[in-house]
Amino acid sequence: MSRERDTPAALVVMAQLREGREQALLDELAALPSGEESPFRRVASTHFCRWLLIPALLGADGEAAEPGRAYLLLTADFDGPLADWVAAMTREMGPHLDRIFEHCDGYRGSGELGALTDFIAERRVSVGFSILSSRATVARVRSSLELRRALREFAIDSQGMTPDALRRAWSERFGA
Amino acid sequence: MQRQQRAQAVTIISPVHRLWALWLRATWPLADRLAPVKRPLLRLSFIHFAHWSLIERVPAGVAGARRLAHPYVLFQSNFDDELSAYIDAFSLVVPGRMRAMWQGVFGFPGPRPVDRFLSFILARTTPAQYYYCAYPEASSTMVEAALRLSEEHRRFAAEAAGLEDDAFAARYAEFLTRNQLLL
Amino acid sequence: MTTLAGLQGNVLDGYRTPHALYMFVSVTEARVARRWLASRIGRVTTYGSFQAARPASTFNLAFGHDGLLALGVPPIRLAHLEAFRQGMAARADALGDVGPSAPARWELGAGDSHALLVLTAAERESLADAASELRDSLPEGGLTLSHEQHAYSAPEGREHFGFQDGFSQPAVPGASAPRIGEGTLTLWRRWRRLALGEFVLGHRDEGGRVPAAPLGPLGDDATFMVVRKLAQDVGAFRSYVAEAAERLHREPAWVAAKMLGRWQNGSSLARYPQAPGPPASQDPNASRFRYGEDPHGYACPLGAHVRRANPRDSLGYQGRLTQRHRIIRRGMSYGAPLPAGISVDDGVARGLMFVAYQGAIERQFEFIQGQWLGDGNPLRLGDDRDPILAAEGSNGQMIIQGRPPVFLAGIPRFVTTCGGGYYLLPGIAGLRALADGAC
Repeated sequence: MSRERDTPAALVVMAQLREGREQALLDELAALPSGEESPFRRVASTHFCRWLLIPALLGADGEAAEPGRAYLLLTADFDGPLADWVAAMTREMGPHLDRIFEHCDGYRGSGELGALTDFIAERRVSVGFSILSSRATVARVRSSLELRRALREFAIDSQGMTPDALRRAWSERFGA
Repeated sequence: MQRQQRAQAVTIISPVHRLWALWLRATWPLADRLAPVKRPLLRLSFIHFAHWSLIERVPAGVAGARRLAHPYVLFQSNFDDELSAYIDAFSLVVPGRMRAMWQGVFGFPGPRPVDRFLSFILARTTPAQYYYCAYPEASSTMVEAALRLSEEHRRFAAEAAGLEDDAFAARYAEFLTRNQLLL
Repeated sequence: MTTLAGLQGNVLDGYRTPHALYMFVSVTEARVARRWLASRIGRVTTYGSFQAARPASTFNLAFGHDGLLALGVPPIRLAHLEAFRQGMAARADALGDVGPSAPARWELGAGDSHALLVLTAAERESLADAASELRDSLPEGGLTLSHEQHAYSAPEGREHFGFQDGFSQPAVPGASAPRIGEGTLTLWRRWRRLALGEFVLGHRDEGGRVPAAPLGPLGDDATFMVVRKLAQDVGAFRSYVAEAAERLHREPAWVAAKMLGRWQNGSSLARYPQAPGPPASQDPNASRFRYGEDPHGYACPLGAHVRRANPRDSLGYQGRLTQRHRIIRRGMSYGAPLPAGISVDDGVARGLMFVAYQGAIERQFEFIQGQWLGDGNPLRLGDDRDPILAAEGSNGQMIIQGRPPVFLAGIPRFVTTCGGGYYLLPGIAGLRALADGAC
């Protein structure tokens, strides 16, 4: 089931880990800069991205269904076609991706053309049902949030202004 | 409470009865296109994005790959704030939708009583070791309000461009009045 | 199901006595303290005994988690009660007790004490006598007094900012005739009482379950008590309200009412949007209103304090989203009032001894404090926080909805937390078991 018509699109990837690599993976994820320093800031079409370790898939009885098998889950919400997003990830975060995905079975590195795309395609989990609160791009969300802040500030500061002062202040702040 | 990172990642992965997986595959395509199905969930829980998937084989994208002993439902969301605050609401107000989502998951105790449902959900929640959000300080309601407000602003700015001061002041007051819930 | 006779007083049915004393004590010798407790049980005022006859002074006692451990309660009995176990100081971030309200700056001995002894009386002399006797009993009772605070109900029940308070309480079975509007709404939009388990352990709550309680006899006829010593900067409040009123060309009483959600005489903005109605103390319908008729907040602002603290049907679904987050409040003022007309702090300590009873601390008090008061997002108000209780990190802004809206900004901090704790108020049987070391 392709969700590529959606904006934003969602990608879910579930990759089996190489044996015994759980701690190494956790260490890599802990070392990946977050917040303002996150390398995802450079992949500007990314709304959300998470990485998590599934230490074991549990069975109906609550016990590990396949002892010894662990998985890495990657889920991202981003603007635009998947191919563009993967290209941007490779360009901006190639070394980071390598350090994380190298703990997964079958990963051949991001350097080889198409290798990352194939890796993702083979491990991609299709999304069956989604709820999206908006369809705006990251850029539009950010600029709208900034405008909202500016409008609130303006509303506060302009209280009690005479009409001509108000007009001037509006023009200065928002143009026209 | 400090709110540097409003969105919270919730990830639930849990085995389901095979028949339930069939049911989900059959009903998702239609449900996914029906706004009334989604509306109360959006209204109650301040979601940015939420996704449901079925995992039946590994690697998932390879035809003929190893089948898992059970299918797994994978639920992932970016909620504002804590899950426990929403589970209360879901259980009280949309128990039918909770059944439709979780009935076939092994061990599902029903949407009520809410404390038992919450324990069921929390027991199956896996923490994300890394989580990135492009607009961490904004909740989903703030994002929606900002998007609507920016449309309203564009319209107002266009209308108001040629107005005299007094007329502008009056229209500005109307603009504020109309959009005060978005500010 | 119990008869509630063993429940301590002032929970379901408020004492309404004008004078009180809160004594924060620590247990220094467990065995001696248990003997002291055994000797005092007969004097504890219960729900039953208070109904039967009003004593000259009432006596109640509550215990913090560490206090119960100090008295020999096995930790396993309490380990599952997360917030109670941690104590209020440890929950500071979630409660907004940061900056000047941070636990490190609380008054000495006033935070998460082992036990809290509470005396009230109709007459000042009766209180003084009871206090003197109680204080004298402590050293030989294996207890040390770490902090004490007198409190009172002002005439007309007004708290320090000038608002009539305390008259609107959840309607619960066993409480004296509640006012209409103090319970919750049914599907047929009528009012009904809330489930007893929302406020008394051992009974079913609104979710149909019995709330998590201490294991063993401590869990019978008991409740959780949240106490917060909240210093109020009345000068700053009056000064802000006056300055905002002048800037906005409004009356100070209007600004204050819009911030709180009620006029100073307690009449609700929802019922009386333009001018005060009859004083709440004289109006049986003071709480008889819904916000559903005011969805835009033109009458009572969406972010006003009382609308945040009890949103009623504001969140839709006939109030079902609010019915599990109610608290019984029995707070009283402390410190001499700031004389009328003064808008500068005079350095006199004054404020509110906030007391709340509920069956589940996290779901009730903490939810209100953290979700509705301490944030705006759950109420779709973004980052705007409660204007009366706003803590460090708040944007200090509030929209007063209207045609057109009015904006408040630069709202300073008026209230600072300077003490308090999470306590268990055991029933009589629980107190006996505690005294016998049989918990």
